[in-house]
Amino acid sequence: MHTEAEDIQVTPITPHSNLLYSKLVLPPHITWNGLHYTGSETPRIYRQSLTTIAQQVDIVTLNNLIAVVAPTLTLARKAAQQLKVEWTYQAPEEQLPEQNHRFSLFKQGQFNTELHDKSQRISRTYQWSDAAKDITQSYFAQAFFNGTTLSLELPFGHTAILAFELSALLNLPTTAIQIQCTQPALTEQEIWISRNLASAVALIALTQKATIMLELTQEELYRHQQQLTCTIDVHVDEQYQPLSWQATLQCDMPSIPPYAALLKGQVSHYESASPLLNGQSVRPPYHIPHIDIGYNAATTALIPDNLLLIHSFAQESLMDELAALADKDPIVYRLDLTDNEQTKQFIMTVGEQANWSTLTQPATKNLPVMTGRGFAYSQIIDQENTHKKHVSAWVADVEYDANLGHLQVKRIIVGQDTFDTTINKSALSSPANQQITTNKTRSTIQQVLNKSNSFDQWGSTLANTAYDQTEINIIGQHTPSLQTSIENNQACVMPAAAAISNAIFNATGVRLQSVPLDEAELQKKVGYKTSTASSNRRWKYGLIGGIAAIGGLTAAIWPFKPAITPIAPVPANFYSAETIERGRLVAIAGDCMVCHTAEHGQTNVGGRKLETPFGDVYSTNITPSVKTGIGSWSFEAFDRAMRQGIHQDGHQLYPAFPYTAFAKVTSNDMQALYAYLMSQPAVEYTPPKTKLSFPFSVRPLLSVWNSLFHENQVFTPNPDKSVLWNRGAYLVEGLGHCAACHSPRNSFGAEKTGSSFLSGAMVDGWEAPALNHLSKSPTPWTENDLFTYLKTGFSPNHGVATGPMAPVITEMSQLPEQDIKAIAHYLSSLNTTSETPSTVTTSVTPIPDITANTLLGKNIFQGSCAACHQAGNGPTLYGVKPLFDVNTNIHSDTPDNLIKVILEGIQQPAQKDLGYMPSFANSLNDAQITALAQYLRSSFAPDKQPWTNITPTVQRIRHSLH
Amino acid sequence: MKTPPTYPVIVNGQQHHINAPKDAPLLNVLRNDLCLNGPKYGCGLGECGACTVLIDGIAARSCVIKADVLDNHTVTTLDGLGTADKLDPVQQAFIQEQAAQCGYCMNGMIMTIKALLLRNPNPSEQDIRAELDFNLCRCGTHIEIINAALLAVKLSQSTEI
Repeated sequence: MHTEAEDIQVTPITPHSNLLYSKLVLPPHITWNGLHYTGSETPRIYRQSLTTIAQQVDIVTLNNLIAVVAPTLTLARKAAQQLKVEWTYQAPEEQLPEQNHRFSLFKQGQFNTELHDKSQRISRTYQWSDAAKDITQSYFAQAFFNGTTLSLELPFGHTAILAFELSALLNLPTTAIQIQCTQPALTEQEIWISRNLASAVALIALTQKATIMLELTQEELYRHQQQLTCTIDVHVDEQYQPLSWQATLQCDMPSIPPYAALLKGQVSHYESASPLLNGQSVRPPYHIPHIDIGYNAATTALIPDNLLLIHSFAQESLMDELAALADKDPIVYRLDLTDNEQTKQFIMTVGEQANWSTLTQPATKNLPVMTGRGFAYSQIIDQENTHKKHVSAWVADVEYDANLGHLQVKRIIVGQDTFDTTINKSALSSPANQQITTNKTRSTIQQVLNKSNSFDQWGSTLANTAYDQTEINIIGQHTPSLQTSIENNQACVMPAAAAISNAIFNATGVRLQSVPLDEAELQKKVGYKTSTASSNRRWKYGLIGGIAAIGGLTAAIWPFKPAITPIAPVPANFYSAETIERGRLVAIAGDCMVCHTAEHGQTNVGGRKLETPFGDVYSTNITPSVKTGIGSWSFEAFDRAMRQGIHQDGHQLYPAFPYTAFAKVTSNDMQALYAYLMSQPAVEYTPPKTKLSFPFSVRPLLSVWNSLFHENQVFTPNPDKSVLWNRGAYLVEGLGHCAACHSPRNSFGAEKTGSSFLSGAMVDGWEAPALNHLSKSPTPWTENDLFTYLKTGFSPNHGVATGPMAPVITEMSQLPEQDIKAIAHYLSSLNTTSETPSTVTTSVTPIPDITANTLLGKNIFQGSCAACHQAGNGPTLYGVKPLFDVNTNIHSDTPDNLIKVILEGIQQPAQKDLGYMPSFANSLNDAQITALAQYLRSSFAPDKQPWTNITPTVQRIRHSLH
Repeated sequence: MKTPPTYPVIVNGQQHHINAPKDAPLLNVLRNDLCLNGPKYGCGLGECGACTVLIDGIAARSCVIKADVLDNHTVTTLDGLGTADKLDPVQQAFIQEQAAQCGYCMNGMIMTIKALLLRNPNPSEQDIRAELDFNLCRCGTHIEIINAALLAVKLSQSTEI
């Protein structure tokens, strides 16, 4: 279960007792022109949009900075999401290129293009942008102001820099600011995050008497999109040796101050920030006669922090390309152009230590798994001492699996040195410094790579473990400089992007020219197949033709399937932790334990009764018990059961087990699921036997059923739709098997498809509402509403998850947030009407016809329901307050769900914090429940036909209660 | 017979070890396992408010809530509101106004007003009436209860630093 306590454990910060949680409410546009804020402004805050939680939430407003403060994190998140704010935004006029000047950063030789008439000109443009890598990743910071001293706790950051910045922002002396950072910031991104956390939490803490815990997500931290470009024009001779080199750097927005300072409008101390750049640092360290490096901008006042990074990426990518054109080894090519003996020696040492041998050209590689190596070098001239030079060289080994579309950085060799005699180098090779460089390398790889989200990709945790597997070797006993400059110095990670990009080229023949290096772009350029099986099948049918297809069909109907040889149990350590973790998420998305765990029973041992029109089906034991579970099932047997509904011993399984949906699962996910289930504890338990009435008890007949209603085909993504949509479709149609409950079934118990897909059905006496007509609810279900409902089990605009949906939500809330977003996105696309913004309607109860019965119903409502369900004023009670005027069940064609909830109550809510509802089965008789249902229908859904036959429904449902 | 294992819970700022089933009503656990008899059993359906306790400072009807909320929430009962030497201002106000007849609803009235004051230190009489709308009193002490609640607002403000 995803609880607040777990969220906080994300960071090592310990919460204080008198603690309030805070979230920012950021404007849609955050921009700045280098002098002042130019984004959305003059917020109009609609406090009443907070409705029931208004009284527990404090709103902090400092100019354009808006924050909500609440006693729990859940409440703060809810308030930030719910609070309606109107902004005014005037898009800035397009800045004309003439207004920009080209400032020279470095110049050497007579730069004159006419000199190179006979030479060949090569022009390339490179891009670098900072973007959220995983929009759901959260960061927490804590602050307390006691009237004189401000104390802050941050997960990472540089205390001195932050204290200086906060002192200017808050008008407090640096001595009155105490900052604790758990560790130093390792990358530019972490520096940006720490500055944002610190400024925002400090400003909020100053307005409050309590300790403030602020949460910022990556999505919130990258509202501004800063993009840097570097265009390089080179002229080369016949040997592809550069004669002239002209580079122009450009940035679409100057480095932006932390949001809180910007939005509060206190940015004067940022204007004076001077460029911290030594022109010598952008000079290519190679023998090139004519060099001109410039920066295009309206003002040099703010040179972005990433300038050196993109410059190094552009320079080293182009050098690699020139080497390839010259048909030379990239290291040899660089050495030929290097005059400086020290540098030469350094590059050769790194090459030797990395066992560098002359590279093979990418064209010779045509395997599904392609491997490649790349090299890059860069140097920074010290700010204060121009005789001091920090140098770094990277060798990267990458592997690209064209079948899976997966790019992996297998190994990184980082060489680094400082050419300066004044430093005692041996003192710097301490393990702590080595560790910092290793961590920094790992974070940097993560920063420059953009792992794609294919439809069968699972969450950020897995993406991160993929990076963690990279082997990192730091060579050279020497770390660049003193401790402080290791933290601040970019030198050791500057070659990262180029080295990896060059290795990708060596592996695949594709050059990526923008950072983050995008896996999806690589997939497009190299060619990418999700499943080789499906394409093979098509080929087979095409080749052999119709007769073979008919033969295949008879084979499929042939009712007696062979048993698959049992295997010895899979050893516990057979699968990697990564695979098992992926399998865990697959199992959650597939809701395995919802059906395979009996009420109050042990997880996955089976025994839950599923009522079907054909009789009761009991779920089976899927723990790896050899005798009673699936312990002796080979993967082949497991895969066949999941896709074709055939038991390991060959007997047919009933389609109450949704193999019809699971057939869509990709083989990677299936493998991972098998790994996960096999790694769980084995439990000996034999669940009750399924007994259906004749003829359904004859299992072999199911092979005919399968040939009619089951298509054993892996999910194929729709190339016209987004990755998010395809991910949602994969989860809904495949693993999530939503249609098993939400699609009506025909008289053979098969799910109807086409326009009936997800059009609603009855399950276990509950109505599973139509998902393709969600827009017909009293208030249309928006994508946002769906997300909130699926994540928390409650949508204030629609109601609370009950019945069989509650455990589904409990499971689903453990999925990565992005997956729930994908499901909401896909489901909302099934609804034809366009999305209307979700508004909370204030309850206007129309006066129904007063009959004796509705008067009775009204009295029951007032006595039994109103304390928790009355709209408008009333006590604030623990748990959510579902209102009837927007409740889906009151607006349904049948009263079943409403009556079921009244009789059964909600004993196991989808999430604990939703609160409970008592059962009224022993307090209200059939006539009273009938009157109550009539009253609710006529009062809260007056536009709908009154329900008929309520009393028989009450009797039927009451009878079915155990 | 096997006794179920005990687990720690925090009520009124003190740690206790109990072995009640997680799906037992919170009210039963408070009264029977922890001997905290401030909250009363009234209707058992969350309708009358006699069983009100505070969960994270929010009024909650403990007869319809399961014991598993104790896992990650702090629960305060009337017993933990003040001590005989140092009464909570709300308790003080109810004594001063003599706002009890039979007294069975008193726990719910005091706890609900306490929850109101925690989130709104300066409620109007209208706010108070709305808040107590679903706390039932059968003796007809309503006027005294409203007076006590109004006095509680004053006393709470004067005791704040």
